[in-house]
Amino acid sequence: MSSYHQDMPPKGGYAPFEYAKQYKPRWIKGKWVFLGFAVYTTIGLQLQKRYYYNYVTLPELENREANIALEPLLLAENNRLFLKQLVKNREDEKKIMKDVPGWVPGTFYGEPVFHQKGVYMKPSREEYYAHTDYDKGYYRHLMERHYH
Amino acid sequence: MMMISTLIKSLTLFLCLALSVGFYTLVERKVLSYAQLRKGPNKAGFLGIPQPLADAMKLFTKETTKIQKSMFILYNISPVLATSIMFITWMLYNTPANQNTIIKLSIMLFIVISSLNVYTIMLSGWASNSKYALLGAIRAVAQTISYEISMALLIMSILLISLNFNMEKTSISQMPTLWMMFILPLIFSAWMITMLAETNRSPFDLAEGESELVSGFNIEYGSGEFALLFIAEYGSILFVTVLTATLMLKGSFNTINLTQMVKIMTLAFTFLWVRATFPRMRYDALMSLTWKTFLTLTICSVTMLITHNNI
Repeated sequence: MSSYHQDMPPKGGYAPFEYAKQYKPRWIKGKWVFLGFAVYTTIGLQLQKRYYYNYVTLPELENREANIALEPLLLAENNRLFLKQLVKNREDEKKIMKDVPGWVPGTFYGEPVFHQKGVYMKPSREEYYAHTDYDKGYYRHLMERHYH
Repeated sequence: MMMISTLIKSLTLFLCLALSVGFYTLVERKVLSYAQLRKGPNKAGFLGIPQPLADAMKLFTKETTKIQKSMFILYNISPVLATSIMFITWMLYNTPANQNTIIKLSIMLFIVISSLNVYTIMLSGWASNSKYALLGAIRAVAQTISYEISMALLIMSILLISLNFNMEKTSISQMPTLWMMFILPLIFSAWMITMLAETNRSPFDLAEGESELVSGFNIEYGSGEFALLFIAEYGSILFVTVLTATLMLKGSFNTINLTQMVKIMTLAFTFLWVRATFPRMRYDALMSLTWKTFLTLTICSVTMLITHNNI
């Protein structure tokens, strides 16, 4: 009589063996990730919207109001600069043409240049800047901004 | 007088840009070498710091080879064109050198100019009349054009929040702590990947797949012309980091300060880190990434933000 016995499969057979890759169970489901993302983004966007209104839209509105309030003043300053330059131009013309007999500033041998048939004509840009110093770049830039 | 000072200022800007590109290559070599557990360039001068200067000197004094079969004029024009387009994009950045250029629609202008980059790649690949250069150019052009669509849509979804086409105002409209990067994390990651693909960087550097194409569209280029193409590529990478810092991380586009520098350097380092870490992508995976994933994502985000604005 032998002391060993035939190896047999366990009762009920072997368990089916795993040939496919075993994935770890996810600790959170996809729909919860999506929901969390949606909540996060919504809150973030709302905060962003509030910030935008308080720190971008309102200052812009304020600036616009201030500009509107300042508009008459700016216009007056603009006009003043323009007139000052016209006066300067007239003085310069007087100084330059003082040796020409019978020369009246603002006219060309008796024919008015800037008042034609009762209508005032603005001097052209070239005429307006005729006696200014070209190299004074900053000054020129300022004046060009205020012309017209 | 004004003109001369402007010229000097812009030349200074370009010189500084070329220098920064050179030292960025040095940083890249160092980062890659330490990622691979070896020491990078450390022989030239003090700790190998003047290495890029030596490289530039070598490249620009090398003899230029005339390739018999290339289309000579186009072949020579394309590197110059690439570099000048890169410099033009940098003129959008308000450094002290170009304080006078105030561009209201600077993001729009960036989209317009950056789409011109495709032509230089196409030109340099085609005009050198070589199979490998042509194949590399076709790959690069297809990739750049595909990713440009998602780039435009991503920019649009940022603009829908900032409601402005100006870089400076876009950075102002972000919250001081919750930057665009934090309130739109998905768009930020898509943006970074798109930017990697847009500048033909690793892991999307299919244009220079080393085993199949020797070096992509710039095989036939040597010496100074190669250096110009290289400067253009790295300069555009640096500009992209600045753009990302502005649009996503509330960087200032107008003044240069320490936090801005830290943001730019972190992003520039990320570009190198990605190159040291990830393997190259397969070409069909690259294309399906932009056409199937990013396009849907960006269209969804744009729709979502439009509705959000109108609520």
